[in-house]
Amino acid sequence: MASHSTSSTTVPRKRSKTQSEVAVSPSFDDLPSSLLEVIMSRLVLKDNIRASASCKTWREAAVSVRVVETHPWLFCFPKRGTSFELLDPLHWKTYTLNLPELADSTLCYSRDGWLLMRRSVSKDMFFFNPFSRELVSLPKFEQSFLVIAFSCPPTSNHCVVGLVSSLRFDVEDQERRITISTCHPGATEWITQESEFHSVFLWHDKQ
Amino acid sequence: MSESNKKISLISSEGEAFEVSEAVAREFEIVAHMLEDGCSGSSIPITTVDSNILGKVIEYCTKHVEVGNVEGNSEKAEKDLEEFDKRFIAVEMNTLFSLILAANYLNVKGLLNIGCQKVADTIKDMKPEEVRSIFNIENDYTPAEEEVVRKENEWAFQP
Repeated sequence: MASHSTSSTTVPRKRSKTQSEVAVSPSFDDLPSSLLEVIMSRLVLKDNIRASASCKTWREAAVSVRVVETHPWLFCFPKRGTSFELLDPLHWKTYTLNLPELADSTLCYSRDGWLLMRRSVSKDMFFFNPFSRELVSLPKFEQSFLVIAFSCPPTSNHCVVGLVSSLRFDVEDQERRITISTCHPGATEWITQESEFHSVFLWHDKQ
Repeated sequence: MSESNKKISLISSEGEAFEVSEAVAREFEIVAHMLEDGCSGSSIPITTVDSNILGKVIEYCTKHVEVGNVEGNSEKAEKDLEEFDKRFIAVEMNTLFSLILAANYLNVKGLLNIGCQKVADTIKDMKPEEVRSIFNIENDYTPAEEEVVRKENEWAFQP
């Protein structure tokens, strides 16, 4: 998103039309960008993306107001291969996405349009956005874990990934012990801590 | 009393005068501001809008002022106005383009709103090629650049 603004805003208009030419045949890419943005902001994501392929001026306007839809979409993983199905439940429409980036990986968690994935063999972890196809790497996590989650999109400075790798009862000390690891985009390793915890209600999600 | 009967002439780019009530003229926010700023002249030049389009914008504003003045029965009035808007904006693309620009310049918010919505509704479910042809847009992408834009979000280009 940052790259397009540097390239296209400085380019001078390709045609300067005289008043009479405009009257004969106006081109809708000559609308002021503020109006194009109003128009693009009224399109659903799919139409916004399609409109952005018509010309560079429209793309600039479309990208500047593009938002991933607020209602959740279903993302269906194939048994094999890299052909994923995306279902928009409001319009009951299915799209197929070929995402080789996700080959041999399993989904760990998702939110805000981002998937948190883990490679089955290498145990490398990464974020992936199926809409923008951005990929953000995380350090690998070798052990198995019980639950994992992240706080906000990995493009944010505040993004933290947290997981619980073990939850046990120490018979000797008569204590519950929890092992938590955290990490954030750009980090080189996971930070693991073990501590005592008191509340049995802390993790209610058995999945 | 004299306020509401006051007439104002709006002069198009060709110099044609359109006499309207002050209430209608005030629907053009640009004119409303002029009047508030103490511009007391009874004729106001609208140099960037031609007679054809100015006539249409006045038609739109007149209808909206009329309906706004009718008291009671608001649900039916609202529905009628919606129908009017729908018919009013069902124009060919050149006119739509000029109406949007005029509404933007004159700051007629309701008209700008239905104009932009009409464009958005037209774009819906269209392929980029169709969008270009309907809106007279020149494709300034190289084939390679266009391919990148399409590849980025391939799913959205499926029929």
